[in-house]
Amino acid sequence: MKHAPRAPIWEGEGGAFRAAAGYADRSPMQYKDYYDILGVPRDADAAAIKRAYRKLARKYHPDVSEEADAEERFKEVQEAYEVLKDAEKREAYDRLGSNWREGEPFTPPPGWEQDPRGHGGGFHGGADFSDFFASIFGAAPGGGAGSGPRGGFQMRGEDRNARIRIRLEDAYAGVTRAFSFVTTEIGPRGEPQQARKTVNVTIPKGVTEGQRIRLAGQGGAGFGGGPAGDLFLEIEFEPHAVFHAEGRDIHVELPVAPWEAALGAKVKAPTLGGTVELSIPPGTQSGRRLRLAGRGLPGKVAGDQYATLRIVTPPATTDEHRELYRRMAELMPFDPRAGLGT
Amino acid sequence: MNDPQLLHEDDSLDLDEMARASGVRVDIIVELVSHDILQPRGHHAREWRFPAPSIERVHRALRLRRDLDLNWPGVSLGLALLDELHDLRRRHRTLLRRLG
Repeated sequence: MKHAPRAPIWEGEGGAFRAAAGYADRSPMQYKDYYDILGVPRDADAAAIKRAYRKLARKYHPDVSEEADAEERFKEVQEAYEVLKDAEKREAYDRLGSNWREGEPFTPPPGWEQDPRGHGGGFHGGADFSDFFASIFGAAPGGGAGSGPRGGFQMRGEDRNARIRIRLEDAYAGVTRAFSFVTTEIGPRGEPQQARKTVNVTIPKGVTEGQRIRLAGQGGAGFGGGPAGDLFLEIEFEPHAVFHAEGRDIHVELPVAPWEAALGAKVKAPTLGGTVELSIPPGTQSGRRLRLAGRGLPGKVAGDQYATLRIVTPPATTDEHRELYRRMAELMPFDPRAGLGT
Repeated sequence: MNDPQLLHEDDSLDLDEMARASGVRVDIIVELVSHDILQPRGHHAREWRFPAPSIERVHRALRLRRDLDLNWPGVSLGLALLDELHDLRRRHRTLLRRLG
């Protein structure tokens, strides 16, 4: 067998943690190569480990990183640092041997259940550490750091952040959306376990992009009796074929015919609340922006809608059309490039 | 479960409410204000009004301090830069969408 029998890592009496019983009959857990996760050699000193942690924490911190798996990566990095920064925990981990590979099925060494002894004082960093961590150092909440003889240590669970995409029409009128997420709960034996939850989120009318909805207590589980964190949903708008929002204001590009722009006209313009009539002043140039007061997203002070006019040239597809353009050129001498000095 | 709560700029909390809603002690909130991490309206603590999104900001500040081993001035600078980054990323996404 690849892995030689190892001496039990649990020795002596007492200690701060109770190892979580019951891991032996769960699905096989995977070995975590903490050195590999931090990108340091097995003989790295404390300073190198701290440096590696800081570098990766800056890179993957969920409040900083936009990478999709930042939260998972950061948790791994935190867990690895939790073990390697602590001489006692690191020694216990090292005694598992160096033949293991990241992700390999892992079974705690013989004797771990009979003589469960924790290693190295309380830890910090949340209840979301892996089964692998819990099998060696004990599960945190309800049976671990918080309730051990050195207990009394409570910690609030992690907040979670997610985006929820809605249509602009829903931001205008309000909507209720089902939102599913995976959360960590504390199982009957004190071990963290994942559960899928669905909540109905009522999004009031007039929300703007970037606003957040707080689902109190729906974040990561706390430990030592600490409260759960919160789940924050950031509002994001789906791309819209006609409108785009900036804050509470709505923008639209409105095509107009040359004669509407030149002579003035009343034209129909779309708004989120329905079609309205918009007056184009005579002599309007392309790019002119007209404001429809209060036609943006609703609120204590409703936003406005801005229509940017774009003059569209009718295609000259017949002799008659072409003749009309030629007559315009004759009757209306006009140099659109007069200001360019050409 | 508590109802989902929209953290709206127009909704404001006083100092005690802010501490309660964020799950931290009042003196932590005062500390965050002193480092310009939170910017309530009003001059004196008894007049302070915090916009509701500050609740999340408290949590972010505490996380950054703990996870990146920062002091409060470092947290303040980090959050200001992250705000700017977040805003730029959002504008960037919006522009990319508009460009199709």
